[in-house]
Amino acid sequence: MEANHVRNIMNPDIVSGSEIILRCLLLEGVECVFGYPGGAVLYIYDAMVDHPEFQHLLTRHEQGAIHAADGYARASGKTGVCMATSGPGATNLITGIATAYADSVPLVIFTGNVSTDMIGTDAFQEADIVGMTMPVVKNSYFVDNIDDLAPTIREAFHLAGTGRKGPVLIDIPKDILAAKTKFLHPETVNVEGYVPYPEVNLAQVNKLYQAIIKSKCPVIIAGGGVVSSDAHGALLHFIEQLNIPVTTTLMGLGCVPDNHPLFLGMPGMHGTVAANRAIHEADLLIAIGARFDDRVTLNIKKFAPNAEIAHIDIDAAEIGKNIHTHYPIRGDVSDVLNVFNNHVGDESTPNRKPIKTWHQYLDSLKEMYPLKYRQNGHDLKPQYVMELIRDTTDENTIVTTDVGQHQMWAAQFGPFKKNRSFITSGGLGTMGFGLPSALGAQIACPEKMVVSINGDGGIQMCAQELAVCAIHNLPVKIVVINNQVLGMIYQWQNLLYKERYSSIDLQGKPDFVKLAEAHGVKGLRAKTKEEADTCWREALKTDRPVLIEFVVPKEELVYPMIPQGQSVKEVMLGGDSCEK
Amino acid sequence: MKNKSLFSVLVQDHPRVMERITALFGRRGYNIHSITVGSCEIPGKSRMTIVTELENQKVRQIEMQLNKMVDVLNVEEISSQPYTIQELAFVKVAKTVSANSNQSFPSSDHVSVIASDQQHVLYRIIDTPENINLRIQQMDPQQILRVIRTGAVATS
Ligand SMILES: Cc1ncc(C[n+]2csc(CCOP(=O)(O)OP(=O)(O)O)c2C)c(N)n1
Repeated sequence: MEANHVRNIMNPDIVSGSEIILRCLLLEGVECVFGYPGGAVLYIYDAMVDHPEFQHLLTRHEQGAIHAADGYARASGKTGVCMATSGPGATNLITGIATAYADSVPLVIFTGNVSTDMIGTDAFQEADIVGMTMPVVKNSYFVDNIDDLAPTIREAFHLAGTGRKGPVLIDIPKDILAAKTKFLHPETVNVEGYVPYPEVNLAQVNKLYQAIIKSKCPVIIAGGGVVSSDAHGALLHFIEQLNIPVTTTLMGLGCVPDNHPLFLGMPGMHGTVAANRAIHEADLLIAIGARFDDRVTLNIKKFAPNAEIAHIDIDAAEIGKNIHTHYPIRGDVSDVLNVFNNHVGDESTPNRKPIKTWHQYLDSLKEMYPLKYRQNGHDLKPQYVMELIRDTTDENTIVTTDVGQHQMWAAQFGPFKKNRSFITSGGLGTMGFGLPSALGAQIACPEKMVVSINGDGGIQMCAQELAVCAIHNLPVKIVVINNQVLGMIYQWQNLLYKERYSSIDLQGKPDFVKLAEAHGVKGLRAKTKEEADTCWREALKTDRPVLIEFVVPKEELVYPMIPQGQSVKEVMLGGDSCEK
Repeated sequence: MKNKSLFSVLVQDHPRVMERITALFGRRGYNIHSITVGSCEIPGKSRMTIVTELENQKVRQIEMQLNKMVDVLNVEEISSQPYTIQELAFVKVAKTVSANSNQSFPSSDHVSVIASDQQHVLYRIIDTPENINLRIQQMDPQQILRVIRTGAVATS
């Protein structure tokens, strides 16, 4: 690059709002922005021409862009960035913003808006995106003064990526993007009254520690907070020191290696018998970065009936929200566990002896009720595909999923050995998330293998992003579990609506192999176990994006299942369909 | 059991703060009886008084949710401690032709006449919200033309 092209982006030059945005993003260390242009943001896209070092990934739909930014953030732990134009561009982001908010994913979202003199006139492509997204953002800004722009961006990154993380939206009118001012990058950021990482209260830690020592049947529920705080190492130390069995929620999967002897599997609606029984019979339940979601508690009145509840969470508003808490500890999960771990290592504190009978009991449950399914002949079962993926991938694999039965099978049978190895829309349950989040994860982690597991319904909600995988040669392994129905809806109509099937049929169309090929993605199809083995082996050898359609019977249901509002006593094990 | 709850909330004087706060109540299905806001002793900040009715176990949850908002600097739940509360009301009352049915507010420190003409009297009442209700209820409803209230301000 010629010398005069190497600008120092810190220089206090007079620059446009658009240039300020790009400089701020570069200074925040942003590697890639996922977005889609339009009239209101064209100044930003114009400014990108002068910044070849700036990576922008053009998706095929704004929903794809925001899910990709989300997948990027979940895989890397960094803040994802997304950009869209005013009006329809902005409103297309809303599902993705809500998805990120529900799972506390750090995102900074830029939307353009009409010029300040047109705001409030119902101008062409005007939308009140700040108003529309208010309930699903950590914070949002409408920047109508160019001198506020750089400080606002700084603050937005600070808020998105600290404390309980979440999406932050910045809406900027077009004239502000063109206006000029001196570039001053704020060195520090201070948001009055915002305390992202409160001091851990030692007295409370001590109280809980005493309770743990006394407890005969303790169990831990580890959630997305452990993943998000990268507290997996501290958690492992904690459970091993204190010998406490652990179950991880859907959002927590991966934070404890799934082959760990203390690991009980996932709790809740499709959780293991061991996990749900452990919670039901525990005398002390320690929730760590988990929020007692109803898919876990099912019936909060019957949940953990014998247990005292301890709750470690960064968000004070989560503690006591859904369940009465005896031992509240507010703080970043890593901070709290580190305090515990130092404490436990201390000679003056008694070490907790493993409670033999409790562990033996849980081990016997694990043995008696493993996750299983019925294999008949050459029929290809979805669970078999999950096992195939698990058995042929190593710990440098990231799995993303869409929403439905395949998501639950992936969670049950999946290969989760590492933090941030499982990416799924847990809180909002957003169909369409599986594919775009995978391409974001692949951009975040080019050295890892990314497997995206989808249903034949959900893949069609963002299938347009196949083109992006092909064009950028993102070698994602795109799995489509084709059961010819909206499987999870089929399951509910089968079990809970007296087999009155309604609007679930997806039979016959599209041809997924052709769909893949039309987008420049390699397409493979497997209908038997043998074909599945061959196709998957071929997919693993393919160093460009590949879609593998696994055709499976629609009758397969996810078990175990505890219907909403019931407790572990009412667990459905699926009769003989559950025997391997 | 639902009880009257009062929150005194110190907020940044930012655009749409009011909207963020009312939406926080609205999306949880809680009614706000009254909400007042105005500048306070700190430049650039405002203080709100929110009067609502909540089940006991929800009070702390709302307090926490309010506290979590970036634009909220401090939340005080003041109904669980001794507090002072006042509201201002304008009541426009019609003078009727028949002199014996003519009513006016019993004289009190809380009530004053601030305007009157041939047909109407405009009263100003400053009192607790409950007392304002009582005072208005004691009047002949036919005579009351208009009631305008500010919502309560309160402090511990
Ligand atoms: C955007 C969106 N719309 C609707 C739903 C409701 N829903 C949950 S699972 C499901 C069926 C998914 O079917 P498919 O993608 O084929 O996956 P499968 O359950 O068969 O594995 C539906 C419609 C949802 N979660 N998200």
